[in-house]
Amino acid sequence: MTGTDLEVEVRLPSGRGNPVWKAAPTVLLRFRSLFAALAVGAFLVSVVATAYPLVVSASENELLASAIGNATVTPYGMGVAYRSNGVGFDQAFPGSGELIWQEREDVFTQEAARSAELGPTERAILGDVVTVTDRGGEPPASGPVEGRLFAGTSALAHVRVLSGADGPGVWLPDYVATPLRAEPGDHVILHSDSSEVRVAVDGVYASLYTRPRQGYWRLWNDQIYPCPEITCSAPPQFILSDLDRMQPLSEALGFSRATFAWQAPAVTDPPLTLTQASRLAAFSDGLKRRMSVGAPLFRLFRCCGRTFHRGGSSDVTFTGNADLVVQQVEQRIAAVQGPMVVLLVAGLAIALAVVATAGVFVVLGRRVEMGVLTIRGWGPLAFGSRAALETVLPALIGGGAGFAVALAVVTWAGPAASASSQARAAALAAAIAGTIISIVAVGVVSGVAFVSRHEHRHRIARVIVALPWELAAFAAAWALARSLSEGGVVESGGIQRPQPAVFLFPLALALGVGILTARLARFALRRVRSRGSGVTSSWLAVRRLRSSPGLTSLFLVAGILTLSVSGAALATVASLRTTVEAKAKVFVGSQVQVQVGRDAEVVSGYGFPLTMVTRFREAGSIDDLETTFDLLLVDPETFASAAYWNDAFSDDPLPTLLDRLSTPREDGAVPVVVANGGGLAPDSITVGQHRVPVSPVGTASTFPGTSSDTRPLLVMDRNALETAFRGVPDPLATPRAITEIWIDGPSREVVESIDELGVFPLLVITAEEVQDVPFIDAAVQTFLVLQVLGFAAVALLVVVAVVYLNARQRGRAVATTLSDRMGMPRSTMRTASVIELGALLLVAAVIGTAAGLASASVVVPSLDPLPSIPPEPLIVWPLAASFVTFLCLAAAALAGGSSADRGARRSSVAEVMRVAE
Amino acid sequence: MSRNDEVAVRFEGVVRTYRTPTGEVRALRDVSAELPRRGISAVVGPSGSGKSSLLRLVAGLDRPTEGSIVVKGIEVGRASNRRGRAVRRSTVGYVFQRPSDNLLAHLTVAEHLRLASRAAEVSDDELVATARALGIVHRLDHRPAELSGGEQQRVAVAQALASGASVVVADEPTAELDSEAAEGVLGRIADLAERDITFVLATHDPSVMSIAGHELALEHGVVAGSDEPRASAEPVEWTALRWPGIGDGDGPWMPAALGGAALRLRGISRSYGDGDESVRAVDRVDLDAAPGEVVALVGRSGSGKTTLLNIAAGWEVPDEGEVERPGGQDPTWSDVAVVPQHLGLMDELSVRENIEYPVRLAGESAARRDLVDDLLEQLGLSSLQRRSPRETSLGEQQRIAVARAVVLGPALIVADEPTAHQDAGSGAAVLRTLGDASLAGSCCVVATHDADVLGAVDRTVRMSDGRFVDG
Repeated sequence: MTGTDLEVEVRLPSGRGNPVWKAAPTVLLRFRSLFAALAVGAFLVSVVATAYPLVVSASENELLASAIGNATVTPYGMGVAYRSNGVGFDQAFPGSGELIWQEREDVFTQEAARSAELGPTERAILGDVVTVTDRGGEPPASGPVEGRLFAGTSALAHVRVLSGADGPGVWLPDYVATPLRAEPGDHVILHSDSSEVRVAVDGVYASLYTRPRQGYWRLWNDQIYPCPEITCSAPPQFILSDLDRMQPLSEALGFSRATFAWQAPAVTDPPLTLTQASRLAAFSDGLKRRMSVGAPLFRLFRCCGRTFHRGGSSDVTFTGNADLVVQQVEQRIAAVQGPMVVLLVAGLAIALAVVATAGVFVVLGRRVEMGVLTIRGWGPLAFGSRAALETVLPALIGGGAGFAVALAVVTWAGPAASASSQARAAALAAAIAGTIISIVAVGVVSGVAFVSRHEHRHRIARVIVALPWELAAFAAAWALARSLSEGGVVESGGIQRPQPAVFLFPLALALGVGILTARLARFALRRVRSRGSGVTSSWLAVRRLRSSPGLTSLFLVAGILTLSVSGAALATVASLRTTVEAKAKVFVGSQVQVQVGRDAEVVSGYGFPLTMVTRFREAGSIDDLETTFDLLLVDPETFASAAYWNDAFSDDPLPTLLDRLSTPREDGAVPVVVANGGGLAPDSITVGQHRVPVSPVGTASTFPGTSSDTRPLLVMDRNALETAFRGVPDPLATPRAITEIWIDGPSREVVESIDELGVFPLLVITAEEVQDVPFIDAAVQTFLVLQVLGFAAVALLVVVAVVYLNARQRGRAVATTLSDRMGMPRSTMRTASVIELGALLLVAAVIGTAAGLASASVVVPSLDPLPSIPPEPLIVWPLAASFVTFLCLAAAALAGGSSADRGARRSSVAEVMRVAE
Repeated sequence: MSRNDEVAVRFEGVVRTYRTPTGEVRALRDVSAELPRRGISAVVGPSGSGKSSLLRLVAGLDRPTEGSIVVKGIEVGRASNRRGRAVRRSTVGYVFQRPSDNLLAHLTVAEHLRLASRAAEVSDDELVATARALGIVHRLDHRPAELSGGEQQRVAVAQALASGASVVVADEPTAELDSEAAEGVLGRIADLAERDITFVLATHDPSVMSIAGHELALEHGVVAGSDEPRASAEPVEWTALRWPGIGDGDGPWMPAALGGAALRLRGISRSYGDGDESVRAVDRVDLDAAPGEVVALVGRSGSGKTTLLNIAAGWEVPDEGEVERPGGQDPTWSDVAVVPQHLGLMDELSVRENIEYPVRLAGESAARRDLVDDLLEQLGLSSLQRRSPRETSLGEQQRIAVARAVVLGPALIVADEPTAHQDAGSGAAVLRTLGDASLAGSCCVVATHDADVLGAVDRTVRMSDGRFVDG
């Protein structure tokens, strides 16, 4: 009798409950690759779900900060302001005896304090017009100079100080100081009709009318810029005084009334979020209503418009631009949100595909467990539930990591502004939801995988599986392409956004191509016949691929889908960026365009390359054709140094064209370059009433300065034109001929240095402003993220494939060892793994890249950012990126295949054999 | 009691056809039969005859292409998935052919029994009694990886018994058990069969057949003796294998690599584990085997046979002792070929390609083409040669592995239970193939508990607790 047969009392280990369920939460720790794959899947789901609210919120807040940062808005423009004129310094509020301005200030301050989004209330007082003379009482030779007393909280901080320092006197605008030759330390005399006061000059500042409008001064724009035309004469500019001295000074000049204003700017630290801005807009609207007719505060504020009262009449205004700013931000964010939703869906689809694939392996990768539990009567619900329970731990780890990474990436590498607390809460909720979705998805997929493997399926299910789904995908792609042929942009409520087809078309096309390729590959593999009598790597690789047709197909479809989407995104982003840059710079001429007066002359020594041109829209007609054309007069010597140029514009290099333009012709014809002419070769043109013979010396599809896609542009040397029109009325003496200075350099620095040009700028346009097309930006950003996601998915796919190959080869440890003994060279076995993975990756890369480029060639033309400006959208093939992708995939195949083969040799054959005993 | 009450399982016109990448496989053709409610029914027939397919249908794990299967009054052939699961939970217990396929790697034996008994009101005492009857009571807190193949099979049977099922279906339950273990299992089965539990056992084991009260014989998917034509019936031709370079009647051919003994083991010992957990699997064993000799190693599961074969084959290094084998420390397939229990067939290759694989690697494809044909024919694999091994039965896979082992005429063939899953006819084909190889000069060392094998070998060596024992 052996020890095992002894009749000793034996008890089963204690513990009721189902041991399978009890072990489920930690059982995947035994399957590290599967655990890692599920964690990665949950990580991706969480990243995508978390990033969406964070990015949207941060983008909103960045746009808001940008809008508030606009000089014409500033925190003052975001805040609330009240102004009323004709208020007596000593005027009492009827019934209370309080000074009316004091009462208003108290109530306004109290009201503003109710909003957490508003800062302290500031007061401003605008007095009457005074005449200013020097201390001798003499007006300047150019005539009397007028000014207007003004005092305001921190007013001096919102002017450009030219000279001086704070003191007991006043600050003069240079509009006043220059004719009087007044300088800090001097004295001037302020005259009213009834009195005069001698005041010290503390300093001189740049007159406000010469400066761009600013938020702080918005209440007074009607007093600073009395008429919109730049040629209007300046109104009396403000003579700045202290608030404390305003009333005595005014009264000394005999003024008993003034215009009083209070404004509460928006808080700046921390910056407002869009939610706060919306709250501020609502508060502003409410306050205005409370001041309006019949409301509680009307009697005190009498807002708004011209009101008549016992003391006379007042122009009363209340402003609060928060609602406009919020609307502007929402318009821009709406153009981003649509693509972001598509991005969210695509990202979730990719992430959930990873989760689902891992979910399939949770069941199918554990064949024995599946068989054992099947004979125990387990069904899809039990399998799915157990798989879900097993996924909790990796999903929590992946989901938590995804939330943290998304938060960190958006914070440090995302939009400049931070996300709101609500967005963070939403992101946390999304991460939790994403984690739960991952768990549920694994459960569902596992249940379905069980059904597909072990349950009896109805015939209809087999029919559905056998359907040629690529036809459905191609049909969807065809419908989407048709939709795109009518334009990739939709407009609603004045907001343009890319239509979903822009993003869905590449997916549909890639899916169709992927399924078709997989089907053809299976067909081809079935028909491969062996030649020769040995065992080669390719002989083995082909058989491996053929023996797993389902996995081969799945990998090909997934690979082509991800690589195609990545390729399409890569090409689309490159194309859109190139197109929008080309169009913007063609329109502007260079990086910055400054429109100046016709006779303006630039001082020498300016810091950036520049050229001066004259753009003459609808300058005349081409003889015989009666075609209207635009004319661009250039300076051939400086043009190339500053103007934007792309060699794709012309067969001839720009210097050659310019050289031909500046070379006089013996026949007297004016050399011209014909751009956007569609083959035009004019002999003569008529400008005004004057006919000029011309000689085309070059052609271009477009040319810097082109502003219409329907009219040809004739480019001419300015001197040649002057010669041709000598003795006849100047053809450029028309408002349609605009003199422009094109400057090449960083936009911000160029704009800040425009003062150094020594010319009066009528208008400044930058290429960046023209490039700022919200829907293009939205499309570019979306494709950029798709590109990153696509490549991440490709990388993940490779990892999954390697993990699978590794697991498969490990499961074939006995076969591999037997092969070794049979004389199979390890290098051949390793090369077979490399070829197996490499063939799949190569096919996926070639077909995927081709499908991606085909997608881009459909999508890009549908997204013409500036359709009125040539050239047509440019399609850029990202050859370098594609080459790098191919190299990376080749390296992945080499490393992955080698790794898979090593996996087979890590198992102990002796152990396997011994266990078998 | 009506006649229906006396029938546990009824088959009527059952057809099962599988669609595979290499074509249709007709596993069952118009099978009509009845299995009695009481006692043990043995489903017998050559490997590949459809036994496993039939058992899967009884357990509701598969559905017939045509026909009806009624188990205990339940039409399982057309039952809904839900109904099928209920049947498996409470009515039909199933034991897979391969022992390790019945167990979850992370659960102990006790946990397996608890899992199996959840649907039934089975007390702990009854579970312990079942474990004791099957000789696994000392393994209750062990996991599958710590059990021998025989112990795994006994746990699988214990699970089926613990589930309280009234019909237990087992696919070759004793195929990988030694005779003592098989006796324990069968004794318990016989006891339970007396208690109104129906056992349906697919087997080629005479000991199983001896306790069966009813036998259903299948051959090529039809009930043996029926009038159904045997479309794929393949008569075994007992012709001599055409070894390359040997004319018929030339006598034994000695592989070139051989010297004196084909295998010499001296003082071989091998232990596993440390300290108190240490197990001495092989203990100071000496063995000599000559070219052309067939030596059988017999003994219970866990007696050390496979460890000794591993050492002989060169998969394991002994702790003590010396090994002399053809090819030395780095033998080739021509030196030492093996038929392991884990067969190591390459799923990506067809049946023929698996057999040809070592030939291709040796660069002898042309020279051994006839031999490959002969092996396919002798082992009943000709009609399967284009299929993947996955599309064949376990017995057929085993025969593929045997063909692959002998195809190069190696100096030493090490085979672990090469007939475990064979019926009498296929087992004879395997033995003849090994015998042909030995006649051609190969030395064969075969671990087995198949009595038929013992009658066909030159010498039998018995092992117990890692040592050779007399008798």
